[in-house]
Amino acid sequence: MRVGIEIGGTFTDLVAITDEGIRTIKVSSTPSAPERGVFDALDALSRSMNGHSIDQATTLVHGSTVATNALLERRGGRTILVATKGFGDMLELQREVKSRNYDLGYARTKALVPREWVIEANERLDARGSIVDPLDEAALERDLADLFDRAEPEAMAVCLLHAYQNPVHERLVRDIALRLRPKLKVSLSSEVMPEYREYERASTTVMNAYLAPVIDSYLGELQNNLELRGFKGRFFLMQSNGGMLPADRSKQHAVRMLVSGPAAGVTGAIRMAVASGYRNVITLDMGGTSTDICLVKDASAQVITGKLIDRLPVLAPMLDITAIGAGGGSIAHFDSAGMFQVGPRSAGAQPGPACYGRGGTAATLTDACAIMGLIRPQRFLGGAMPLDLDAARRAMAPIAERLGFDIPSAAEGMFRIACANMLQATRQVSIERGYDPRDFAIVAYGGAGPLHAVVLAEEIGAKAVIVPPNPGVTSAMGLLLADFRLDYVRSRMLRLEQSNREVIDALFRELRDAAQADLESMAPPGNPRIEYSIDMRYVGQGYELSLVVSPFTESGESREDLLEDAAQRFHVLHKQRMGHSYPNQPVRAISYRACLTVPQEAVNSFARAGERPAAQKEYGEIRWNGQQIACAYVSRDTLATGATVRGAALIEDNSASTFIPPGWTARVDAQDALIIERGEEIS
Amino acid sequence: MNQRDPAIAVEPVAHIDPVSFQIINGALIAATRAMAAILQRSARSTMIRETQDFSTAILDEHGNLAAQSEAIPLHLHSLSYALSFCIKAYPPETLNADDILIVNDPYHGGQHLPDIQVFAPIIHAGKVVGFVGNLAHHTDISGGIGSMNPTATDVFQEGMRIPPVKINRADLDTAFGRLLLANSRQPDVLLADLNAQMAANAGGQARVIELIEKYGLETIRACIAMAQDSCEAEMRRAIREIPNGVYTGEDFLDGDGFGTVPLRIAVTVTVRDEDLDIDFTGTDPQARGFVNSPLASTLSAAGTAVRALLGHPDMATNDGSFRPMHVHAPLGTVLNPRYPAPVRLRMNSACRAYGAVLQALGKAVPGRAAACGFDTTTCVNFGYLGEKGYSIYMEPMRGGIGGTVGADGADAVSQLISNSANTPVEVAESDNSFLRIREYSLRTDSGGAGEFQGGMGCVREFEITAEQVEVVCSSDRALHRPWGLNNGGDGTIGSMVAIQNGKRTQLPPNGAALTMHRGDRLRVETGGGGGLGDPHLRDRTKVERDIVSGRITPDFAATAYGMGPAGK
Repeated sequence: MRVGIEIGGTFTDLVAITDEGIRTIKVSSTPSAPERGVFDALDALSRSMNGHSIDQATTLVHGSTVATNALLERRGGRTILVATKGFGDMLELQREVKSRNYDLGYARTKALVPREWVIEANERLDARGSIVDPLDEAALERDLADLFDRAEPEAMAVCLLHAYQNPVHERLVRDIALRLRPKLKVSLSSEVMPEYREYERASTTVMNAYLAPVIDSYLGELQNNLELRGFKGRFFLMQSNGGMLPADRSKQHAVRMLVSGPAAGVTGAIRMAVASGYRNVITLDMGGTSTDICLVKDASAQVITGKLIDRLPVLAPMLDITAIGAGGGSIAHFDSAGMFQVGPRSAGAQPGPACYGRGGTAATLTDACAIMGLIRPQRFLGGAMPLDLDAARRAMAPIAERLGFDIPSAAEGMFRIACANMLQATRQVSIERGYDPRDFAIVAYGGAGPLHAVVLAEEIGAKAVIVPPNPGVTSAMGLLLADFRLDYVRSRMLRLEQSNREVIDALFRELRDAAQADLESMAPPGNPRIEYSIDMRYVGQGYELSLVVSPFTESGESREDLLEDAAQRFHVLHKQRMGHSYPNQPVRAISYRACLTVPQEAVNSFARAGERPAAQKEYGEIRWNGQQIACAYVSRDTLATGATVRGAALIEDNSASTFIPPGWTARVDAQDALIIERGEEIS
Repeated sequence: MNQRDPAIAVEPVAHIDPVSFQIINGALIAATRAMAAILQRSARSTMIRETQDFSTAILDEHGNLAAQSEAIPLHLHSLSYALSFCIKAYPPETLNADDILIVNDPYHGGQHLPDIQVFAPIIHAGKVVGFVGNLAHHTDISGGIGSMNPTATDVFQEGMRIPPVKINRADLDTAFGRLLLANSRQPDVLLADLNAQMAANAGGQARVIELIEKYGLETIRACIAMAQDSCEAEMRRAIREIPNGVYTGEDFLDGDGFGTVPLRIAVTVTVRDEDLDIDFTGTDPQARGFVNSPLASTLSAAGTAVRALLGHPDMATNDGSFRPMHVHAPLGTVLNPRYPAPVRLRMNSACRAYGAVLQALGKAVPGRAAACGFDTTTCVNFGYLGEKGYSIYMEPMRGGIGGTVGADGADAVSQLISNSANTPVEVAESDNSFLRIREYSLRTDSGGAGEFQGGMGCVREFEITAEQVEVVCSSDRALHRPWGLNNGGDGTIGSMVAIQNGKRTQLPPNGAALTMHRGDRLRVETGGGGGLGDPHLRDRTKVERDIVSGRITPDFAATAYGMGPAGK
């Protein structure tokens, strides 16, 4: 048995793949002590399996927001920073740019390390990594001893200038610190993320150090409890790059877990889309407060190496997922100019949409869907939670009045604006990066994704929409479908010229050796694969494009035409992504990457076993294009492979309903996924 | 800020419902952001890719601002102002879809010469229905290193002027392009950055045309008009909250670029119900040196101060934002110089115009008042002629923001009328092998004392590691401290010091050009912002925090805040 457990904002989901089929369990999340949600889910699993449970599991994969929450709530460990002499204020100065204009009271995000806990080491490397000033070890030891007494730190970050070129001084700093405090958790910038731009690297290293104590104690709790339950399998954690790693290894890189939740969803969506025959997709994960969108080309999502979290830069390999503030709980309001807006403010889980009847009075997108007839109050979540339609209408009334619309028109207006917001984000990940959305299908999941996906597909011209079975637990499913994955990087700015070939070859050999050493020590089951890439730019440019390369021949020797080939393909890629290229200009390589993946056991079928209840259609009316139109309501449970449903229709499901607008038709494929395409009939 | 021909009346447009408006207006704003992304990612200069000194916009058929990316306030009104000169030279009915209008001349709507603005028409059914445009700061178009010449006495000594000129993309490879590139120390970079600007416009053009085809021209026009009208209405509502009256403000530049006789910037702001008259009469005559601010910069600076004081930072910006403001800067003054006065250092005079308006309006709405920030760009340009041609490194440095009611000023951050970033030390050193940065830190005790303290200034010290490096630097506020408010202390001044052969030379306040060699150092300090409110009213725990974190010394705490030992 393999088990995946995903902690989300509202629910903790468990998916188990057993010999008898797929089991799913949903329990409430417990944000103040997230491990409790995990234990509750395990208890529920045990009840459903007559006492047997996790002790039967060979593998447990866990995805958790514990690192993200600790960062957002500033509950990390006591952390100090060692910087190069003259540069102790990196975290205070940041990039000197404001995240918003016209604000006299503008304030930066506060640094995770207070200024008095930063010390400067007397040392200096130059831009090539050569030592200009050797490290003054005696002075550093004195300063560290003093700071340890003052700060009693749990963790230490070290970020010295140009350490991405040469880690020698950072390692010496670690040695001295560990001599004084053997239990201190140390993060070196040259190990956490050896890339240039000192503030971004320091921010990442500090965040890694700051989160390490939290992750350590959280995993300690979990592992103890799992042991008590007799778990003897392998324990993995999900990473932001869409892969998983043994827990003991991943806790050294806490910063690589910060966006693992959305990455699990994308991973699950990709695998299910591939099972249905689609390799080029745009994933649409819409929940209560936000929507995550990701472009997937040839069954793999682009991995990027940085983004801002809470206005602090984080450099870590992560799937290129764009998040926008549009979800079922997004609130309708009028901004200071009197303009009608939906989101990004959300009613969250408490009080939630007005129709939840928990005291919410603001009109949310879920209320709009209920008013339009896209959600039937008695069938929400399979009837588990009846909705108060009158409360939704009461919440919508003042909005409608101010718009000068009737209530259904106001609701449809909200729905349209939410779709338009998603459309902008989808354009951003596709058209604006040189991809034609007509070549892509949309995979919709999350509680609200399938309600909006087909409308989005119509707007952007996508060719189909795929709704996987049980779209409410796609992220947890993704945990079980994720590959073992580890990313490696080296940075060295070198022109792509033959004179640099030996250095570049050596860097790739270093990467290969590191990956192979990890393979031996962690021994993940399966057939390993290593993919290499180079980040390149024209000399003088500031942003790199990444290109997959093959630095080794089949016999493992360095390839002679590596640089030539890479440069040529760079010009083509630059033209595709930027609209122009400079084939006569020199190209500079910045970073060299290796990605080690070990594909995990495939899941052959996502289809549910067993008999289907007899098909039943009910009819009603929905609001669409300003009119009341007839609509069929179908229970997804009743649809067998090959069944088709023509729009306008709603296919209701326990975890999420799918809206088929007029002009589109859904069919159920062999994987139990809904495939929705334009036209009245499916060819 | 109606500086344009009032004869261009806005025609009545179709009605549009609020939902369609939100969808289409969102798409237009997103298009300007997409343009910005193309520009930044494909540009080559540090100035664009790291410093982010650029702005992108969509303009309506009259050349008025319709939508823009959230970029640099100093550029914002500038785009429509510069476009009005281009349209005068090339009437819209003569333009084709692949025509490009380009301008940098401060005497034809431009800012300073390195800021090249590029526009392209949006053509639908054979008619110009709007424009896309962007402004980007180029590294070098001749004149001094980085087109910065502290001894310039006219605009010709500052670089190459481009009056409004109509070209197309192919012209970058023909006579026009060759002429232009011959006038840059870094022709490859100039070419790449121009290509990036044109690619950004092409992206914007395609998107707007797509929207017109989808929703119809009349709907798009109605949406733009509605965005402008609602912005105007929001501004007017905010201005209504300011008591009617006449308010004055003033501030000083250290000198005219040559001497140290201060130059006065003065403003009289008259609030009439929902209109603001902003009159810079009383400002000193134009300077001999490069500190003048062309009208485009002055207009944007005044607009920024008004927007900041009104207290709606997230309000959209378009033509409507400027309609209730009526700016007058007398011709022949520092804030509207006559041709051909030099203008390269216009940022700092524009900052003083901003500060004077901030001071005047602070008297009108004391509850939202702010003390003055360092509000000066201290810019250092290094030029090194190596075997592979010129390397140029430009680093604009920033000081602290003034304290404001309810909040301390931010430390060393882009002043309100600008919004650009520093160059990472590792990027600067990787791209420029002829120098090293030895220190980059905050200056202790540099923020003005006050209930709400001014932000701190910072220091950067450069070490030269090659022979014959040409250095040009510029600044202000080496003599006049940023003013504190309501008993708050003044901020601090900045300084530029050359250290050569063990000798320290204080450079003139407005800047200097010098040659430096291996081992020489340049130490540049920016100042802190002024404080707001009586320092004795400052929360004692904040004073203690600042001592612990080393932001202020115990001595400063004692003198400025009356804080005895052990927090007494």
